[in-house]
Amino acid sequence: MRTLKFVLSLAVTLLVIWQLSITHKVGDAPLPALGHFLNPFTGFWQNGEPATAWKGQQKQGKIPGLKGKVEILYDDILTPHIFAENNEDAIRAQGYVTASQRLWQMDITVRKAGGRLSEILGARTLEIDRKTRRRGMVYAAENSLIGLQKDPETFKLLQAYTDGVNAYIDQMSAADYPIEFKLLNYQPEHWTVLKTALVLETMADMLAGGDSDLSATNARAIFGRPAFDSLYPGQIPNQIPVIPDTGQWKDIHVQFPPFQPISADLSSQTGHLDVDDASLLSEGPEGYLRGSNNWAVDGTKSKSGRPILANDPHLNLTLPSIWFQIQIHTPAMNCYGVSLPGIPSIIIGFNDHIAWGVTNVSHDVADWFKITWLNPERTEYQVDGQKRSIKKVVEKIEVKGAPTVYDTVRYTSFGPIVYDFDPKSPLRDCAYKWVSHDIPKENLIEGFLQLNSGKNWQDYKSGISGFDCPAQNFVFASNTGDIALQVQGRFPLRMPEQGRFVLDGRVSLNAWNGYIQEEAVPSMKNPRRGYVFSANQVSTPSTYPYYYLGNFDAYRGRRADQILQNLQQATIDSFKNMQLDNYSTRAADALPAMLQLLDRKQLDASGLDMVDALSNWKYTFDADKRAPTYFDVWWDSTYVNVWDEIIMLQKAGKELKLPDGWRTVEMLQKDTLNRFFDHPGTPNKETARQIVTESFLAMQQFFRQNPTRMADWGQFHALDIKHIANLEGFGRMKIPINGHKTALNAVGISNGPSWRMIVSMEDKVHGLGVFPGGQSGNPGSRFYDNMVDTWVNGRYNELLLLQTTADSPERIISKLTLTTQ
Amino acid sequence: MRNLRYTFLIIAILGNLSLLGLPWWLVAVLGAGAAYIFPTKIVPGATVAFSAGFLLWFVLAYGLDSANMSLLSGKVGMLFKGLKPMHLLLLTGFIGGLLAELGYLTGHYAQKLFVGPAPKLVK
Repeated sequence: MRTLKFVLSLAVTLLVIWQLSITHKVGDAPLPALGHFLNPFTGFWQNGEPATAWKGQQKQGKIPGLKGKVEILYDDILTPHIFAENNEDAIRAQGYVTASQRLWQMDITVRKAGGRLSEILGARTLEIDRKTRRRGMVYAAENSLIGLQKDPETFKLLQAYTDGVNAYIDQMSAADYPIEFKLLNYQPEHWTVLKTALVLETMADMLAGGDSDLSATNARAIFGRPAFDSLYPGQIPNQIPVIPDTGQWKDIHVQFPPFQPISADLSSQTGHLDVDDASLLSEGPEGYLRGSNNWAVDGTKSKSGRPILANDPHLNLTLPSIWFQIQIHTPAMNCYGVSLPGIPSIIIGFNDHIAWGVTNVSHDVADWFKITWLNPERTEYQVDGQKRSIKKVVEKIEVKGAPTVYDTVRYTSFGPIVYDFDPKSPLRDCAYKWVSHDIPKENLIEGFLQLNSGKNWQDYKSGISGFDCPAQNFVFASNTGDIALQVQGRFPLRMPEQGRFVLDGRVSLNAWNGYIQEEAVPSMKNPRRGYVFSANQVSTPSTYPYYYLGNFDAYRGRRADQILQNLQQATIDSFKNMQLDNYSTRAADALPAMLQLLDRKQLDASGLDMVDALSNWKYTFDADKRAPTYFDVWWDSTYVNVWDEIIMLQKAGKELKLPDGWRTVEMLQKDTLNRFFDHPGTPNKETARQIVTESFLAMQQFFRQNPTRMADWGQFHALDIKHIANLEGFGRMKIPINGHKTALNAVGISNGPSWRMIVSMEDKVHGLGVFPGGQSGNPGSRFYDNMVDTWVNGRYNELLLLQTTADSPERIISKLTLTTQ
Repeated sequence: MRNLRYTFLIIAILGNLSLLGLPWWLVAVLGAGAAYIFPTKIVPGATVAFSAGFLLWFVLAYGLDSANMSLLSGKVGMLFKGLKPMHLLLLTGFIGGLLAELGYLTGHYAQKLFVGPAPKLVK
């Protein structure tokens, strides 16, 4: 009996300890390992940063391999200002301090990019990992790594960054692990240069990984060519391109072989791809075009007589924040700006001489090629009548709590066959070619470091010349008075319409035959008009000799140009007003047409009140106004009613893209009898008038059924800044805010200006900036989301470009000294 | 009574060694060790072990939470169906107490098995 009692109590004790050491599920919700997570020695309680932390602290740290002393001053928004005796030490310290604030964010970013989520999350993420790998993300990162190795000196800096991250990891105890590691019950692992390449690929995928080849192929087959051209015109009217034609291309004559690209016939293919309806619908039926704004004026337009530059990249807003502010000061550079955790150098910023910023170019740099197999095993395929063999790559995917999965991916000369595991996919036999799969021509980081230490326009030109993907509109200003803008990237040399549809892989000429030469890439310097700008609009006018396609914004650029044209004596405040401008050119285009078409006889008194409110509205999406709410619902309702045929086909499983908003506006203005206004299946033939009126009544009905949604714009359109893993409580949700995706202040439901920066290039360069989050990645720190309110309220922080460690002592709260041992 | 005091002190004081890197379930080992070396009657012994484990975990967590002004525990509570910081603290203390008590029971029965019955306490 005694033995039994002992064995029983021992067994229960061990069982309880074991159960407290592993994660569980409550319903569908995962429950962390309670013993690991709740114990006060190493569990989450240790992540609660004392409210008095940082203030007045003098810390010491060690990084093996430092050549000199490194001092890091933290200011009152927790920006680290790194003072080092050489660049290598500075970059090593950048890795260290970034890891100290954002280690889990770095880890999860590369796990997602590398198709390794299942290692920590189990079988539920297996299909995500599989698709990531099959799209060639790791293949792209490995090729990117080859590019990064091209310059040995810069590669040494990449290794230094890696060493800095790992020095921090090696010094951590289990109590120091970021809370997400504890929640998910796994440990940090060492950083590598390949992981830095994966972070670069994440950005490339987010900004330049999309295409419409299949949806365009389907639309052309279903609606016929004339209707396709009407629904999806290649050129957006009323556009002011990023780079106007000033005669700079007159000597470029593009010649192609006598050949027209042949599109593949996918008409017999059925099935559909997984479309992320949830993410699409969360930003309305049109979705949210991730874009950005940047502009610069020269001294003729500014009060100071010196250039001013602004940039705000629009991205999915998350906590921890996508950006990390930092200053790097060495004898060779003194630069402030935002970095991406995992990538050495500063991506957007300024120094004592120059400032620069980026917006997405939005060209389509990914194509699909239909492969004709020559054998049932699908190992041989035909190109130009010749037989070619595929290369098999076996992806090993480790899965937590389940056996390892081995997935064989076929690589053709075009790229990987992504969907061949899915017999229902219309792209089952198609190879995917993405510009980021190629080996970069130069080391991207070297380019950023050149920008960081740049002194003039030549340094800017030289720094950005190697930037391949994602292609960016690099805006520039210097304190010697220059402004410039360049559409920088690696752009496939395309025949007209090549890449618009799925291409026939039997013809080698359908593949990309080189890239647009550096000299022909659109760029401008010191234009007579006194300003440059980009807002994801089309890069060039139709006179540009090269064909390109993409997903371009139709409205923000027009607004930016309108303001910049009229701007005189510009100041930092003028630029703030521009970045926070809530005026929607689309609403200004659409609403008068909609009000004109609206049959008011069908409206009741409350409907007529709404019409009054809309008629008096000045097209600004201000949080405290009601009219934008009416317009937004009315517009969405109209949009859905106009394109109901396409939405029905989408629901039936056909991959199709909805036409652009600007095309819808154009039809409402000029083509009110277009056949797409007619509802299929009704005896009447509807026109724009019926659709607009019907949509207005639907809007009224929506508010009757959802009375709590009848609110001012800020409440109706509240912003969610979610935690990267969407952990409840770790995000900032339902924030009432100004802005709209079609305004310069392009705030969506979960997207928006991820970093607002304004730099005035005076003798002492003056920079302001803010992002909607905080420097810390720790939800237990007051620096986790302390800038959200500043950002929401349209305020900025003064950015400290320190010259010495003795500058601005009133704003320095802490100091970290790093030594080698 | 003295053994009960020792049991309490061993768990509550030596349990802090987990702060130096020893595993979080050390409290169960300490409960077992205390019961083995300083035998007591099962009910008061188990109660004292639970109380010591509870206090050890609760007080440490409470100190960290207070310094943090419950910023983090408020957020973590949302992950646990909206638990308040104090609920999380009590849950933490309970787990510490449970581990100490289970360890105590194991040590208690080990002592009975390998050494013999506990000496009768003289009042």
